[in-house]
Amino acid sequence: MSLQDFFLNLGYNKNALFVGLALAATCGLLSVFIVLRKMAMISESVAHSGIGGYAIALLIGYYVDYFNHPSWGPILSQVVTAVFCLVTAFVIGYVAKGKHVSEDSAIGIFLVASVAFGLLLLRFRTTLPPRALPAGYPPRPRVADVENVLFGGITGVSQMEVFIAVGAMLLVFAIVFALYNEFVYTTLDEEMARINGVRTSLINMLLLGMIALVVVVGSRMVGAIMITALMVIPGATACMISRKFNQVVVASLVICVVSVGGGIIAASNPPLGRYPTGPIFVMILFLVFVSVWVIRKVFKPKLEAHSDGAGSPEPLGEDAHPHAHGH
Amino acid sequence: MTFVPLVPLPHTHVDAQSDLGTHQGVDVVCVHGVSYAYDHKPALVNVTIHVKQGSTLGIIGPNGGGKSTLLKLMLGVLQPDSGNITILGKSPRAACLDGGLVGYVPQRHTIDWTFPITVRQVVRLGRIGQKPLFKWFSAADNAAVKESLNAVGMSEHIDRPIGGLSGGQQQRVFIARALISKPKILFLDEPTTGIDQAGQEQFLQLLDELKKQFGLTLVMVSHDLRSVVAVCDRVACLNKTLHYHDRPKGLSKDVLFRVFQCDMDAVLDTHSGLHDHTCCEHDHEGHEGAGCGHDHSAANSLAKPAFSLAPPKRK
Repeated sequence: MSLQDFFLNLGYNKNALFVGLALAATCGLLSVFIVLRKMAMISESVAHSGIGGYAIALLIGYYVDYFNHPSWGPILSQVVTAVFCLVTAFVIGYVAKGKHVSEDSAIGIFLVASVAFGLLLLRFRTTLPPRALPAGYPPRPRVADVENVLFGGITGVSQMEVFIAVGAMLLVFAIVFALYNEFVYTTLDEEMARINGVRTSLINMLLLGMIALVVVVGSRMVGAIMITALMVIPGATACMISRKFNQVVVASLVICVVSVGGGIIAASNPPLGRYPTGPIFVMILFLVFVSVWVIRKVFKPKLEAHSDGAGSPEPLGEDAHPHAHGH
Repeated sequence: MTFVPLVPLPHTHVDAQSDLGTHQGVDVVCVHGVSYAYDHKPALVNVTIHVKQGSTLGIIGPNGGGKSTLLKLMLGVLQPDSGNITILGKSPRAACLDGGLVGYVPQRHTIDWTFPITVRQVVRLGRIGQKPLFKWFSAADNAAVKESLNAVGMSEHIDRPIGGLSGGQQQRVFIARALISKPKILFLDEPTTGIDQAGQEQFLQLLDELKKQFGLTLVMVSHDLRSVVAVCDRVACLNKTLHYHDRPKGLSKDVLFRVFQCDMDAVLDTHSGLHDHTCCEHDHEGHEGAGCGHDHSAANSLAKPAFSLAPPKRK
C-alpha cells in the first residue's frame, strides 16, 4: 500500500477525523484541570453514566419519532445523555458532601449503578416490537451503533456530528480561556481562591458541565467505557514533562491531538480497519504515557528551570531541610 | 468601661482593665460574642476579640481549640452561629471580596507543592479579585508581582516552579501572594510550622519589617507559643472559649495550663481552688484519654521561654 492510499483511506472518514481532532483538543485542555484536581474518578463516573443516558435517549427514541429526525435527532439524544451525566455528577457531589458516604465510595457506587441501569435498559429496548418511523427518517440504531457508544467507532460519522464536536470544542475553549486564571486558582487551592473572591462553585459546575459535554460528544468515537482515558492520560503525561502550568497545557493538547489523529489514521486503514477505535486511541495514549514515564524514571531529566542554578546560596537563609515537617 | 479586678474566671473574657480601654487606635477586627458549632459540637463559645490597628495579635491554643475555626470565621469561609464579626466595618466576606483589605497566608500544607506552576503565577493569583472577570492579568499585575516578591526577598526566584522551593521560601511565596493586593490586615495560619529555628527567627523578623513597611495589622494563629510571644503585642488564648486576651507579658502559667492542657472540666476545677502546676498535672492525668499528652510536653517546654512569667493574678 502506497503512502497515497494510506491517506486516501482517510477520505472516507473525513468527518471522523474532524470530530476526533476537535474532541482531542477539548480533552487535552480539560485533562490538565481534571488531573491536577484529582478528578479522574469523578470524570470516569460521569463518562460511564453516559451509557445510562444513551439508553434513556434510545428508549425515548422508540416512542417519540422526533428523536430520530435526520438532523435534530442526534442533538436531542445528546442533550438527554448530557443531562443524565450532569445529574449523576451532581448527585455524586451531593451524596459525598454528607457524612454518611465518602466521595470515593459514592463514585464507586454511582459509576457501576449507571452502567448497570444503562445495560438493562439497552436489553429492554431489544425486547420491544418493531415500530415504523415516518418516511425520510434514517433507520433506527442497530446493535453495531450501540456498540459504538460503548467502545467507539468511526464509521458513518455525520456532518451534524462534526458541527456538534467543533461547537463543543469552541465552547470549552472559550469558557476555559475567559476564566483561565479562575480555573487555575481553583485547581491550585479551592479555599484560597474562594477567599480571594473566585466563585469556586461556579467554576466547579462549569468543569463538571464541560466533562459531561466531552463525554457526550466523545462516546460516539471513543466509547463511554474509555473516554476517561482522553481526559486523564494527556494531563498526567504532560505533568511529567513540565513544571510550568502553561507548558503543561500545551503539552497535554499536543499529546492528545497527535495520539487521536494517529489513532484515526490507523483505524482507517486495513490492519486495524475493523477494530473498535476507542481501544486504539487508548493504547496509543498509553504508549505515550509509558514512554514518558520510562524516560523520567531512567534518565531523570531535570524539570526545574532554576534561574539561579540548583544549590545556590539562599540569600535570606532558609531552613536547612527544605521539606522538613514538624519542629 | 468600668474597672473590673482581674479574676481568673473559667470562661474568661476580654481583660477589661487592660489596653482595650487605654490603648489608642481603632479596632480593625471586631469579633463579638461569636459561637460556632460543627454539627452541634461546639468549637467556639462566646468569643470576643478586638484587634487594634497596627497591632499584632497572636491567637494561641491547643489543636482542636478552635483557632482555625475562628480564622475561617474572620475570613468569611464559615458563618458564626451567633454573635458577629466585622472587619473594618464590613462583614468578613465583603472585606475579603473588597480585595484591598484582607490578606491571608494559609498553612503551607494546604497546597500540593508538586503542582506545575511558577512562583510568578502563584503570586499573581493573589490579584484575581481586582482583575475584571474574563480578563487576563495585565502588565500592572506583573509589576505588582515583582514588587511583592521584592518585599519578601524572593524576586530572583520569580520564574522557578514552586516544587523546587524550600519550606521557608514557600512561606514567603504565600506572603507575597497575600501582600500583592496591598491589604491592611494580614491573617496568618500557623506560619512557623515546619520551619526550623533559624528560619523561624528570620521569618518573624521579615514579618516585623513587612508590618512597618506596609503599615499592616497582623493576626497570627499558632500553637507555637514561643514565636507568638516573640512577635505579638497582643495574645488571645483560645480553647473553645477565650481564656486570655491581652499583652503577652501578662500571660501566666495558670492561663497556659488552662489553655493548653486541661479540658473544660479541668478548667472549672482550676478555677475553684488555688491550683498550681502539680494540681493541674493531676487534673491532666485524670483526663489523659482526651489526648492532651502531646500538648502537655509542648506547654512544659514552652513555659520556659524568653519571657518572664508573671505570677498568676488573683484577687
